[in-house]
Amino acid sequence: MNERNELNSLPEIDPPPALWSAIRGELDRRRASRRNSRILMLAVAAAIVLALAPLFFGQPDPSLPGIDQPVAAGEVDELVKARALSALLEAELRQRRHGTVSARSLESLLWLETELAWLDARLADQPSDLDLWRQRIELLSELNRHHYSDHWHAEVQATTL
Amino acid sequence: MSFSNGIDELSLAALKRACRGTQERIYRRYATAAWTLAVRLCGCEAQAWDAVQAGFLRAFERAGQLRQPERFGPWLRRIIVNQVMDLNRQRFESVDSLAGEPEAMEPALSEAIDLERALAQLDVVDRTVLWLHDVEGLTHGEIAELAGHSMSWSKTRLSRARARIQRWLEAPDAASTPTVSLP
Repeated sequence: MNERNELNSLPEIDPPPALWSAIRGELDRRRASRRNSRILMLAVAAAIVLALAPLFFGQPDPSLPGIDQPVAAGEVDELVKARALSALLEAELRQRRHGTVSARSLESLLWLETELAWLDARLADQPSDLDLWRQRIELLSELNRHHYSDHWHAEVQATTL
Repeated sequence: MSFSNGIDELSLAALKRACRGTQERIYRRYATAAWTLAVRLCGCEAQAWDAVQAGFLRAFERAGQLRQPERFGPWLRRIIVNQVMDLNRQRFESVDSLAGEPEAMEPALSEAIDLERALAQLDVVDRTVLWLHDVEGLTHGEIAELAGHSMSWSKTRLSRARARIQRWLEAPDAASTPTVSLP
């Protein structure tokens, strides 16, 4: 049968141009999903550790909010507010991290993220240091500003194209 | 670029790191071969889209399992064929369909029917076996393994597909006329 050769001579067909975009979009979605799962697992692990910590290390004295730094009553309120604000900013940052990042901002963002990690390490030792919490709030605000600015630029570019 | 070519070790290492640039480069390299294969096997672009998209996603996510970069092409082809078979799993698993008639016999048009059109008239299973054997060069053993059937199943399918395509090319009008049972 000579169709065998004829079948081989059938022309190749180019794929639709949008196919790669669909594949890339799905790869991005799966990557974000895996990253969120990891963050969630870390958060759950951290929550478990915090919940179990008193069982292993004993209940902390409520009159001593810090480990090595006694904190005045007015400062306790400040500390609670700072922690709440920090948590809010962190939640906002988690949302913004899914957006696009320009190459221009990447270096600053990496530097800020490194600073944040260093600050968190210090806060783990000194959880009642109000000054450290204030620095953390500034860093988180700065990170959010960068992400917001990038997202805004990306949207402007998309609408002008 | 056909499936017979592989990739270099650096590209495979980059794929294993999920490097997006390398993924795009590899996609561009094999996209035409993958799309042609999927369209020929599926007989429709909508299903081909699903098969190619799922195939590349699987290949990129499982690149860590591939040891020999020169085998990337055949490995990707196997993944895409598997995707097509998964989309038509019911038909591939059915043994009874061996006795069935082609499903997509459309009324013949007055113009000449070319080979491409004749191919499109075949049942998806016959078309897949014919294409994999005659164009992609797979052996009956390889086709049987992919489809989960015996080698004799593959041989029977191939000879039936060839007979049907031959019949179609010789007398498209007769081949395309569906059997109608009168009341």
